[in-house]
Order: sequence, then structure tokens, then C-alpha cells
Amino acid sequence: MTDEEFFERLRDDAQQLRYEPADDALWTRLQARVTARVRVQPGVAQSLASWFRPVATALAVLSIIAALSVEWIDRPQQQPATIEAMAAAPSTDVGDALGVQ
Amino acid sequence: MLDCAAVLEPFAVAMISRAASDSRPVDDPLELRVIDAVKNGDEGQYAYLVSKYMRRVVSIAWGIVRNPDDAEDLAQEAFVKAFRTIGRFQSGEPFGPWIYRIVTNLSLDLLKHRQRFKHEEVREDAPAPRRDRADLPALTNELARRIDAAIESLPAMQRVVARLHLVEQFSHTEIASMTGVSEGTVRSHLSLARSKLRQQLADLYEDSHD
Repeated sequence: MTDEEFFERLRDDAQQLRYEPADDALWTRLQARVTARVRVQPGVAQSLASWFRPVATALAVLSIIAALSVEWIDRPQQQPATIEAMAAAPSTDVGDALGVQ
Repeated sequence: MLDCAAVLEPFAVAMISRAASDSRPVDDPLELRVIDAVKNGDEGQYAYLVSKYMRRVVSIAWGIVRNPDDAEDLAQEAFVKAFRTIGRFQSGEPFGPWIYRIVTNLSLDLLKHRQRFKHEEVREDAPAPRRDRADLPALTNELARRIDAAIESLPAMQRVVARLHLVEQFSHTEIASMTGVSEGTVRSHLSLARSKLRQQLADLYEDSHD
């Protein structure tokens, strides 16, 4: 047998040395891992947008709360003036009604 | 007519062998479309390529590093690396040789890392390298066990080249492309490996294997 013939026979026999895992689920598992890792990573703009969006939302909520608070604080200050105005009105009315001769 | 058949026979054998090596997109037009789709951002299509080449990629890695966990990790890394650099992949080219080259390089890097580590750590009285029998699920008979042991006894690069040629059935040109050495060097490694293997397996192939 020549070296070439020997090597060809050896090559035929050696094919059975290919890796065959006992666990057939290995392929599914490996494919799932690769698929999970190759899912598109967000770009810089997408990362910034995903970071900025909740911050902007929080700021908007805070602004609304602040505006409502100011409004709320302003309303009690107007209340005494209204009462005074209401209190002054009857005195005038009373004078007018009784009439001072 | 007979002459024509004689001339065509080697060509036909080469074509059958090539088809069996599953790496030509001409055999699989879907692969071309999938590669274009992935390049255009449809990463979901990549599952097709992973599914098609995973077994072979793990087998190549395992043949070099001889550890199933490392082989699985290397296969994963190879596919992720191929995906991240697919923009540089030339459309129309077969995906197989590319992914095989990536996994071979990653496996050789790991081998070099291990050898460097071994040089630093191994002492005279250190135990022999671990050889998990669980790593050898395909070895169901004595012939396979003997061939495996003979290949494993070769020096590192001869062993890698011999495995790629004998077990994975790659040609000299393909091995040269995968390992980054010249075709002449591949032939030289194989020639040396052949002599050693023939000596070790003489009793199997000279007597009973006619």
C-alpha cells in the first residue's frame, strides 16, 4: 500500500471522529444563545433617546406639579381680599339702605 | 465517448466532493439572500446561517481544542464575530469558509494561550493533560479510538492540520486559508503527519484493512 492509499483509507475512517454531542438539544441551545447575542444593539442616538425620554417625561411631570402648586399657593392669597371686598360691600349697602338724613 | 467519461470523471468526483462539503452558496441560493438580508440589517435571518453551519463549526473547534465547553464557547464567539463584521463580507462569496476560518483562528488562539500558560505552570511532576472520555462521543470502536489517539500524539500544528484534513475533510487550499499558513506548509505538515500516523497505525492498515 502506498502512502497515498494509506492516507485515503485513513481519511475515510477518520470521518467518524467528527464531534457528535450526546445531547441533541445542544444545537438549539447554541443557536438561541447566538441569536440573543446578535440582536441589534442600540446606536448612540437610540441610547440617548432611550435615556432622554424618561428624563423628559419626569421633567414634564415636575413642571406640571410645580405650576399647579404655584396656582394652589396663589389661590389662598386672593381669598382674604375677596372677603374684605365682600365685607366692605354691606357697610356701603347698609348706609345706602338706611339713608342718613 | 469513453475518453470523454474518463476526462470528466475526476471533475465529477470533485463536484460531488465539493457539494458534500456544504460550503458553496451556488448550492444554496437562499444563503445568498440571507447574507444580503443580514447585511441590510435583518438580523433575524442570521439564524439560518447559524443553523446551517453550527455543527461543523463546533466540530472544527472541538477537533482543535478538544474540550466540548470550550468548543461551544468558541463556536458562539465565531458566529457573533462573523455577524458583527458581516459588513466586510463580500456578497456572493460562500459563508462556510469564512466562518470556518474565524473559528479556526479563535481555536488556535486558545491553543496558544493554553500552551503559554502551560509553559509557566507545568512542572516535571505535573499530571498528564486532562483527556475527558466524554469529549469523544464518536469513538464507538477500536479503529476510531486508535486513529484518534494517533492524531492526538502528533505535534500541535501537524495535529490541527491532520484533523482538518482527515476528520473534517478539508482540502489543502481550504486548510491554508483557514489557518493562515501557506499551502506548501500545509502539505509539509500533512506529509510529516502521514509518516507518523502510518507507523503508529501499521498493524491496522497493513494487515486487516487490506
